[in-house]
Amino acid sequence: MDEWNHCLPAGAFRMGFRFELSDQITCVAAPTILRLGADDRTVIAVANQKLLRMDLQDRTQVTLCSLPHPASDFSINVDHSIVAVAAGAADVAIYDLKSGDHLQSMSREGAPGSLSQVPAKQIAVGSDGKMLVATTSGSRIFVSNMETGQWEHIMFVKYDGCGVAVSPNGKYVALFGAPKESEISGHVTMFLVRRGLQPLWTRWHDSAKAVTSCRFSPDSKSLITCGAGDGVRVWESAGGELQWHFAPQGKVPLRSAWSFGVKDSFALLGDDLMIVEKNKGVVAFQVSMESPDSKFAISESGKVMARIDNKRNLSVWKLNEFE
Amino acid sequence: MEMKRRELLHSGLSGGSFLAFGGFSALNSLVSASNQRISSDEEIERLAGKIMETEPESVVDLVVNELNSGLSRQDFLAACLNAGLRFHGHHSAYVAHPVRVVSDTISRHASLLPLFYHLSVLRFRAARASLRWLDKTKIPHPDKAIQQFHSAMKSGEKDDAGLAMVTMCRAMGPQQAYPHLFTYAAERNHNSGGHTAVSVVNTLRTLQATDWRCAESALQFAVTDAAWQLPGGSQVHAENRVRAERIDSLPKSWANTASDEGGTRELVSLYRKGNPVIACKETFSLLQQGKMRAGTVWDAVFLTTAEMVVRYQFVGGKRLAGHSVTCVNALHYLFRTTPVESTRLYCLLEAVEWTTSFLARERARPALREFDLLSLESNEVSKDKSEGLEEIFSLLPPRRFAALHRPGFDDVDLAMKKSLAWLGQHSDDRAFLQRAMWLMCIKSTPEVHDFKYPMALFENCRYASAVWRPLLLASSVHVLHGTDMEESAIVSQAKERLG
Repeated sequence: MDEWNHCLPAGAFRMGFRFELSDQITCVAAPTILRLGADDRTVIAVANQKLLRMDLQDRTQVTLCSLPHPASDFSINVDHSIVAVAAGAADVAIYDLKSGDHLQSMSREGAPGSLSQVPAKQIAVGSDGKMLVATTSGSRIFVSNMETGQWEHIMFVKYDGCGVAVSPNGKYVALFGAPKESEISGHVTMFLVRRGLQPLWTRWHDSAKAVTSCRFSPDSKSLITCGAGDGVRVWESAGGELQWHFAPQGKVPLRSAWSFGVKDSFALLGDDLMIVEKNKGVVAFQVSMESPDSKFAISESGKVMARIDNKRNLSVWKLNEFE
Repeated sequence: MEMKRRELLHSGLSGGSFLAFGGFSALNSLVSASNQRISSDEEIERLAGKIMETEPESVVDLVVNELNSGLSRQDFLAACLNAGLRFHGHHSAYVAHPVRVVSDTISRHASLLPLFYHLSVLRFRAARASLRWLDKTKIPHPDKAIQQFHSAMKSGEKDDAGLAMVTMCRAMGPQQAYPHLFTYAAERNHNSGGHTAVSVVNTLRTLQATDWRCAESALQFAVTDAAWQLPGGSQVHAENRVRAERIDSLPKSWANTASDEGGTRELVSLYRKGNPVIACKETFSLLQQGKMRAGTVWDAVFLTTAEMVVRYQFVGGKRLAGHSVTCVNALHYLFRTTPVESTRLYCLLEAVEWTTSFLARERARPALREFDLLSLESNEVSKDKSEGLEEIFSLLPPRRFAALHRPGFDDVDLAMKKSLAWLGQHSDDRAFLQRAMWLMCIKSTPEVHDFKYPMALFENCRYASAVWRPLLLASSVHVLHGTDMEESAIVSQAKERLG
C-alpha cells in the first residue's frame, strides 16, 4: 500500500488534501489508453484493439467491441453514452458506450484535397456531446459535429498538434504542439469556440522541452500546462495571462498537472504525485508512482486518478480531505 | 509582341524622359560601377528595416511616433512596399496596391488604417531575404539591355533579365522600362495562379503612388516573378499572339467600352464552358466581325470571374477562385493603359484565356458549386441605409486566417441577395463600399487576400457597365468580412493610438 508523506512545517496541523488509494482491480487486458468518466467511477480503456468499460463501484469489466485498427486516442462525452475513437483511418468512429455498437464514422467528405485522408491523432469531445475536435499530422485541426457526422471547420495551425483539450463549459479548446521549425512541442494555443475556433492566444510553455499535458480547471477559467522540463504553468483561459508558474525542485519531468477544484491547489504527476499550493509550494507528496511506462487517467473533476501498470493492475486514488 | 524599340522610344518621347537623357550617347555613362546593391531611397529603406527589426508588440508605437514626427502617408506606403519586397516577397508586396487604394478611398479619418494592416502582414511571419543580390559585373551595356532582357525572359534566366531591367530602368526610367513586362504579365499566369500579372501591375501602381521610389527593387522583383514563370503547356497564348498581330483586321471601334447586355450573356454562357481554345477563337471572331466590342467582353470576363468566387465550395480560407478576379483586374489595367494597340488586344484575349482555363481547372478539382450569378434575385432588406448595411454585414460568418468552413452558404447567399436589394434601393453605392472597406481594415487577417480580392472586385465593378454593377458588388460579400469577425490586434492598437 502506498504511503503518504506529509511535508508540513514542524509542529503544524492544518486541513489539506491528499489522494488515497481506494481500489485495485486486475484488468482483463493491459490497456494502452485509459480514460475516467465524469461520474468518477466509469473507466474506459483500449486494450489489444478492444474497447473496455469498467465500473469501479461494482467492479465489473465489459469488453464492448473490437476496433478495426489500433487506436491513437479516444474521448468520451459527459454522460458516458458515447465514445469517439481515432483509430488510424481518416475517419473517427463513434461507439455506444453501453452496447458497444458502432454508431457512425465521422466523415471527411468534401474536405479539400488530401485533407480527407489524413488520420486523426488526438481527439476531444465537447461538453455538449456534439462537438468533436481532432488534431491531425500536417498541422490541421478538424472540428466536427457528431450528430451529423460531418466536419464543419478546418483550422490550419502553425504546428503539429500533440494534445488537445476542451473546457468543461465547452467554451474553449486548447492545443499544444511543436512548431514546424522546431522539434520542441512547447507551444500552447487557446481558441474560443465561436462559429468555428477563434484563436485567442499562443504562449510558450517551455522553449526547451515538450509540453506533456494541458487540462482545464473544473470551472474552465484556467488552463494548466506542464512539461518535461519547466514545471507547471497556470494560464487564464480568456486572456492567456500567466497566473502561476511552479517548478518542483530538480526540474522533474511532469506527466500531468491538474486542478481538483480547490482554490490555488493543484496535483502534479511525475514519478511522484504531489499536491502543491500557490503560496506554499509542495504541501504533500506521494513518493514513487512506480513504472514510468504506466498509463494513467484523471477524472474531469480532478478528484480521481487511475493508473494501470504493466501487470494489468488498475489502481485508483481518490482525493480526500484530511485534518 | 515585345514592344519594339521604336514604339518604346515613341512612347518615351511623349513623356520627355528620353530627351532628358540626351539621346543614346548619354546612356553609356549610366552603367553604374557602384555597389552591388540595387539603389533605393535610403530613408525608405531605413524605415523598412526598422519596421522589420522592431518587436511586433512595439511596431505600432514605432510607426505612430514616425507619423507624429512628420512621416507622410506616401512614405509609409513606400516603406511597407520596400519591406515587402526585401523581406517577404510575393503577397506582402502585391498587397501594397490594394492597401493604397483603400487608403485613398476610405473615409479620411481611417486612411492610415490600411497601412497598419499592411504592417500586420509584414510582422506576421518571420522575415527572410527576398530580393536576390545581382552580380554587378554582369550589368549589360545599355545598347544590349533590351535585347538581353527579352532573350533572358524567353529562356527563364531571371538574373540576366533582372540585370538587363536594371540597366533599362536607369537608362530610360522605370516608367519606360515597365511596359517591356506587359506581354509577359499577360501570358505567364498559368503556373503562377494569376500572380504574374498581379505582381507586375500591383508593383507598378504602387510605384506610381509613391513617386517611383524604390523603382529598381520593384522592377527586379516583378521581373523575377515573370521570368521564371514560363507560359507552360498551353498553346492558346501563342494563338492569341497571332490574333493580336492581326489587330488591323478589327474594326477601329473594337476597343470601345460600350457593352451590350445580350452579348454579355452569350459570352458568359460560352466562358462558363471552360474551354479557352473555343472561347478565345470565338471572342476574336466576334470582335473581328464587329458584333461585339471590348466592353462586352470585359463585362463577361468580370461576371464569370465574380461568379467563380461565389461558386467556390468553401467558406473562408484563401478561396483560390478569387485569383480569377485579381488576375483579370491586373490584365484590365494593362488593357486600358498600354499605348500599344496590339498589346491591348492581347491582354483582352489573355483575360479570356485565363478566365476559362482557370474555371476549368477549379471545376475539375472539384471546387465549384453550381450557381448562376446572372439569375440572382434580391431579398428584402431594410429601406434605411445604415440598418440595411447592418443587416447585410451581420450575416457574414467569421472568415478566419487559414480556416475553412463546410460549405453552408445560406447566410452569405442571403447577404448577397440583400445587398442586391440594397443597391437597387440606393443609387449611391458609396455607403456600401465604405462599410465594406472599414470592416476590411479592422477585421482582416494576415491572409492578404482579405484585401486583394475585394479591392480587385470593386475596381472591376467600377469599369463594368452600369447594368452589371449591382450584381458584381453584391457578389463581393463572399470575400468580405462581416461584423461578427474579431478585430485585428495591430489595427485595433493603431486605432487606439491614432485616436
